[in-house]
Amino acid sequence: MRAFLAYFRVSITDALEYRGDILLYAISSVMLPVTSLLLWFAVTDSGSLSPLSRSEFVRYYLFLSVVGVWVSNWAAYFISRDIRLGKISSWIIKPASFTLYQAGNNISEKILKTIYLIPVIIAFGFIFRFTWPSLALYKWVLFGLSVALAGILAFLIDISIGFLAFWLEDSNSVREGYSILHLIFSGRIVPLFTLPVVLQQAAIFLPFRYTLSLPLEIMLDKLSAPQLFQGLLTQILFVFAAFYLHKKIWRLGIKKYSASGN
Amino acid sequence: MRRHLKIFYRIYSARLGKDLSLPLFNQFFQIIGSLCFFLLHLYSFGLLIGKFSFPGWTRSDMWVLLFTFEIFTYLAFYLYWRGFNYTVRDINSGSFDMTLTKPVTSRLLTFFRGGGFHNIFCTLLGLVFLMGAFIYFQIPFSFQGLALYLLSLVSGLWIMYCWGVSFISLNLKYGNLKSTISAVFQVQEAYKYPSTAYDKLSLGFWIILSSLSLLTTFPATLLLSKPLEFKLVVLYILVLIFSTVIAHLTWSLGLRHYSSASS
Repeated sequence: MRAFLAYFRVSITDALEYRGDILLYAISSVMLPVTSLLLWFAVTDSGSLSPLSRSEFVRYYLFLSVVGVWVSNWAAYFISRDIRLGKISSWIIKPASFTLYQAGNNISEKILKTIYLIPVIIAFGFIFRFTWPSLALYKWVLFGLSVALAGILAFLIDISIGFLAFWLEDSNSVREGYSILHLIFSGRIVPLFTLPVVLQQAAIFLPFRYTLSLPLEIMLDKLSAPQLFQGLLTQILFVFAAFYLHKKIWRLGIKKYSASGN
Repeated sequence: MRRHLKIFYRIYSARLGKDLSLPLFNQFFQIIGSLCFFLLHLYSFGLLIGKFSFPGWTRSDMWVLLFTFEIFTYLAFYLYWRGFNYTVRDINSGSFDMTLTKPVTSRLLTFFRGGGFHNIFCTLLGLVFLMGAFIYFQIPFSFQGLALYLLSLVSGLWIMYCWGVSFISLNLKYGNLKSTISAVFQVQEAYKYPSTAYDKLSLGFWIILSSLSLLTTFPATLLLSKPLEFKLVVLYILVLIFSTVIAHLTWSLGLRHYSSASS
């Protein structure tokens, strides 16, 4: 815990050096959801049948902007680069876990991004006449839990992809492949329930839904109690599986790892 | 102008040559990656137009628009992506100074650094699909429409370049702003759909989204020989002028405020 807090403090200080970049990231991260939202407005105004009401679309995309920050990850590229350049060597001899450092870096940046994002979201909330979903308290708690689990799951998958650089010269192609599937099955571009039924059913068995869509489905109150329970349980199982996977890949990778020039 | 075109050609042909000299494995995976995004756009677009309609645009028109979007997007990635990335990196490392000392326009050397072969591959694929759409849907074709299409694609790419310059110029004054690289490409969803989709939005959103959407709507409309609304033509011309002026101003101001990281 002390190591994590130390990494967290260092990462926050580091991130505060680049306040402008984080502010710009926060603004640009809402561009896609807002554009998609306006497109849905245009579609619904044209008289076409829509899976959600206007206010539900507003809730979906504004919450997506915030949840999207908490499930975003960037470590895979840097981990892959560090393995390729031999910079990971210093982490092998440290008494603290490399994953802990990445987690500290991840959470610190996300906190800063959220702080910058909140005024932007509030402004868009006024513009689009956002209304709070009327959920029972326990559903809000489950929503928060699901967001936390989604963030952990996305983080573990991301660093696992980064660790593949122990075997692949460049894991970017794997990352890109993951990104494409993530775009389709996570609900980032279009809500999952607008996809064909076959794809919706496939999404239940893939991890992507549990990295973004599930918390949003809970927020929209679209799930029955059994579906909610099943979704959360599957999410927890995926988190355990991803945790085990990342540990395994790291251990196997370190055995294989050799660096030149260090 | 002739000298600039010569330099442009040399940079891009050298880059292409370097890409083609890499192991086939690398290129294969890059092409597969780009192809997957290409197909993702195809698939998500097909889902949407299967369920919803856009006023003034038939199904065949929408497919022509999508393939124009694919051609435009991959060309933009080919022309600018590397330049945007490397410029931010160079400004932060101090190696941007070398670019300023060269006897060529700094904007040319900075932003045009060559593109990946996989982007050219997908551009050509978009072209093939576009021709296929014309044949499949039996859309009437005219060479005049084609000439105007190419011209409007070039002007659309110029607008995108100007936006990129405006964003990247912020790095000259404010330092490390890596988010500026992707900011320009975050708005892809807006120009995947026709401008008429945004007609019922409030004025502010209409101006922003229609300006973006016209990057592909304008060329597609000209190619299909459809009538174009006067207000959209005016908007397009204003966007072209405005973005050119803003890019020039931001770049000049940025250079004036620039102090090298290596000094």
